[in-house]
Amino acid sequence: MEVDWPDRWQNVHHYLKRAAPFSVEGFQPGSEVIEYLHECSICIIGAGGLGCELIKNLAMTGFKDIHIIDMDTIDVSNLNRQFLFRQKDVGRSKAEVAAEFIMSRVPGCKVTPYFGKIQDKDEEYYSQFTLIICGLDSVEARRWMNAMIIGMYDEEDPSTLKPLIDGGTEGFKGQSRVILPRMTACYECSLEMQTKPKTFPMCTIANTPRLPEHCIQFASQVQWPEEFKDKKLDGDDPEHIQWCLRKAKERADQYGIRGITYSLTQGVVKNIIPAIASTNAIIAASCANEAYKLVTGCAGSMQNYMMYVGDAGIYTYTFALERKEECPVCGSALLQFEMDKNSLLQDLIDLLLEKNEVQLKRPSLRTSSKSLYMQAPPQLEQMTRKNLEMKLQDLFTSNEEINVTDMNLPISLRLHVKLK
Amino acid sequence: MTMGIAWTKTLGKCEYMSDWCNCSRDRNIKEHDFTRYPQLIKVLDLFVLWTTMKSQHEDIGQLKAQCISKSLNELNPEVKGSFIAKDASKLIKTEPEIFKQFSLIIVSELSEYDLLALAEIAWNENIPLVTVRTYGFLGFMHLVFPEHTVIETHPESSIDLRLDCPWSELIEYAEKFKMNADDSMVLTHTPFPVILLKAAKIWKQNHASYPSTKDERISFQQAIKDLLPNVAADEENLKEAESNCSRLFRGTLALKLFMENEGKNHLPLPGNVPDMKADTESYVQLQRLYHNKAEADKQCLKNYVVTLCSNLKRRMIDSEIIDIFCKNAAFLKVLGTNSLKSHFNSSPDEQFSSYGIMIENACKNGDNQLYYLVLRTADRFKTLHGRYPGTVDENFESDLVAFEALFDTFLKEVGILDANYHAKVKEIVYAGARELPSVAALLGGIASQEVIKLITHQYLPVDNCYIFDGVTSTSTSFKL
Ligand SMILES: [Zn+2]
Repeated sequence: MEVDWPDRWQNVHHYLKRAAPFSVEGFQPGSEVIEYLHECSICIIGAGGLGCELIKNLAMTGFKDIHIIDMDTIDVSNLNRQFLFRQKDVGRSKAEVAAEFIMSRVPGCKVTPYFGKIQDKDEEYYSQFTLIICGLDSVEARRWMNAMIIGMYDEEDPSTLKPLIDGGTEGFKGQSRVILPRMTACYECSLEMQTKPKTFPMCTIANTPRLPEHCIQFASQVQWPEEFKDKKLDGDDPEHIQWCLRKAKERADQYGIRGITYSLTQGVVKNIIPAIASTNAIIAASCANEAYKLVTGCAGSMQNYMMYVGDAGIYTYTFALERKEECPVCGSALLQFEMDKNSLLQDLIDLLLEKNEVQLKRPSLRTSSKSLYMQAPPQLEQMTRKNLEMKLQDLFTSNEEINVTDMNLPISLRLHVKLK
Repeated sequence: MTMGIAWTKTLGKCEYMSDWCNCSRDRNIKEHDFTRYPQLIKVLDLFVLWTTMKSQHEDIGQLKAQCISKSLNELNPEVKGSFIAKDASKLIKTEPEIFKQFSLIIVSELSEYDLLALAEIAWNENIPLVTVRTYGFLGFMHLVFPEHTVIETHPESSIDLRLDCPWSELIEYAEKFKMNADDSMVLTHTPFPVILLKAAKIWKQNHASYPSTKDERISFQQAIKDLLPNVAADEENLKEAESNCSRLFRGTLALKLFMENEGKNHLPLPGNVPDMKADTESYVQLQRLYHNKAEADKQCLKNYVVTLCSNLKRRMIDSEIIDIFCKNAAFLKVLGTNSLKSHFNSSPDEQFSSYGIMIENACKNGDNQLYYLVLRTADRFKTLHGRYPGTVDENFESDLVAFEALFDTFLKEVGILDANYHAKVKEIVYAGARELPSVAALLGGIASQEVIKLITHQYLPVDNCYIFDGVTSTSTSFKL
């Protein structure tokens, strides 16, 4: 640690020199905890708006072994708020540029980037960290990370406990939270709180459009796939947006609807709420603050969820989110349905997809004796596809235990279907 | 826009002032600009960044103001940073004129005496002053400005359907719908404003005024249901009618006040219509009605503006601004705070009498507002001892005793006898006036957000104090 000059860390060491009124029970001040702060290993998931703030805050707090994972490259549109990136970095890996920047500015801080997906790494990799901080905008990636740290936790072995700090922002709203496996609510426990993207029922879009949004969604969801069978609509491609704009306008004129603009079209297509740099700064700072407290114990953690709204005054609400007994990740999930015995397996899968509290994408189902429907590998999918059109009573008995997995999510839940 | 930051720090004397952006004060800033500004104003962040990184860099021994102004420019090449390397305290006394050029002033760490002097300069020039500080796990921000107007408050809903006094075209339109039809398709596609208008018409035949008591409201809701006997209670348009009827009455009351006070007039109609269950044709017709009326109102207002401007010999207001104004007419805000001078110069008793109950309750429950008094006591301690409590190891124990005694005295002056504060008061001594990077970054973010609200005249700034407690991760805003 020859790079440390006298008093370099005096501010962050101050709280570690003596037990204060709000230190956690059993807090041991002194050189050991000070060393631990500098030596422990922290993983940051996401090097975007939140990630840039997070890595800067953690480096300034004295964490010297930081890993950062991001699969994205830098885009020009990121430069306004992802302040570790410059014009010359456009096209490069976010994780790598962020790591270089921090290492060039904060001597003694080692940042290890990984340019790739979180799913590329396994339990062994994640178990090297003291804690993990997520600054992501993807619900799926968070669910995966959450399930990973909960799966890793073995109650017999305290060293397997990896706290997860999660931050998220949307416009002027944000939240930060601390997840302790099987002690606090996990990400999956509160999945219902996640606001669903605003979409409109297809019958409205197709038959009774009233809003400009309805026309734009008709253009992007119905007309685009009709016209360009193999080309995916890209919300960042102005040509694509122009096309949707033209089609939506035609339809709007037909129905006498006003208010279709380019920015609205882009907003609906991309379903974006603009990211605000100050919200990112606030939420990332709160996450870093929780990391400092968790690692050192110099003060207790937040209990355990803080929501933040900053458009009218400043409002925060911090509360203890309860664990859910039937959580498919940290609890003993058992879904119970009642269905007609003559219903088809496809009906059961449709019902599962509608369940907001589990939000499955591509569920696979099997009983202890056979596969009912498997999404992968392709051969198995093909073999089980015919079951979709079969009656439930011909596939399993009433309340027989069915195991549901999802290829995009590391979760597994039990399902009982009472046939009548 | 130019912005000034005046700040001194116990670690070394430095002041810093910066020409922030080269856009002029009058520039019409649009909504999307909001997302562009915040990263420019990361004052506290940058400060910490540089104090922690000073060694091994060319910056060691350099003026902090200079370093920050340089790195600001690196953060955003459009920002022109300049600095004045003088003692802020002296500058306030000897060259107060310097501060008058700024659109906004941010202060971090000035003594109470200097802060008051600077606040006077800012107040007299109608320049908003933002003071922001961190103290261990605590963060505090205070906004002071004589007057601040917001046209675009961006409320969740800016819809005004004017159902309490429909104009003739709207009445005609509603008349066209037949409620006794058996065709349930027609009934379930009747827009809810039509249902409400019809219910209100029937109501007025038997009542002198709109329903105001709870019982009247219940019977009005029943009247809505009676209008549509063949429509299932869970039909969307019926539900919309019911939920909107309570909003309508609240709106009516507010509007009534406005009419009595402002000369029996209505606000210009914003002209937007919410999405509702209806067939496209009825919806578009309805939308057009509202749109046309809004255009007419706007034209009327524009005519007034033209007359006024020429009578007063003022420059004509942009048509675009009148559009925005009409859309937001029901949500315009004029805000103002007390001046720091009027707050600090009154006796402690007076200072707290206006919000005595708030503070008293906070003390009783140990709420976050208590920290405001604790921070004021820390400043007093500094005035008495030349340093903050808990900053010198040898004096730690005696500081604890002295600080608690000082706080007790302060409470008595303010007239608070019942308080539950010991852990929070002790915490200040343990914090030793240290600055944690995470808390500094959080307050930096909060302050930037409020600064941008003030500069763009969009969204509502906090009124007018904010405290963040990093231990519990809770925060409170309150008015001083
Ligand atoms: Zn859970």
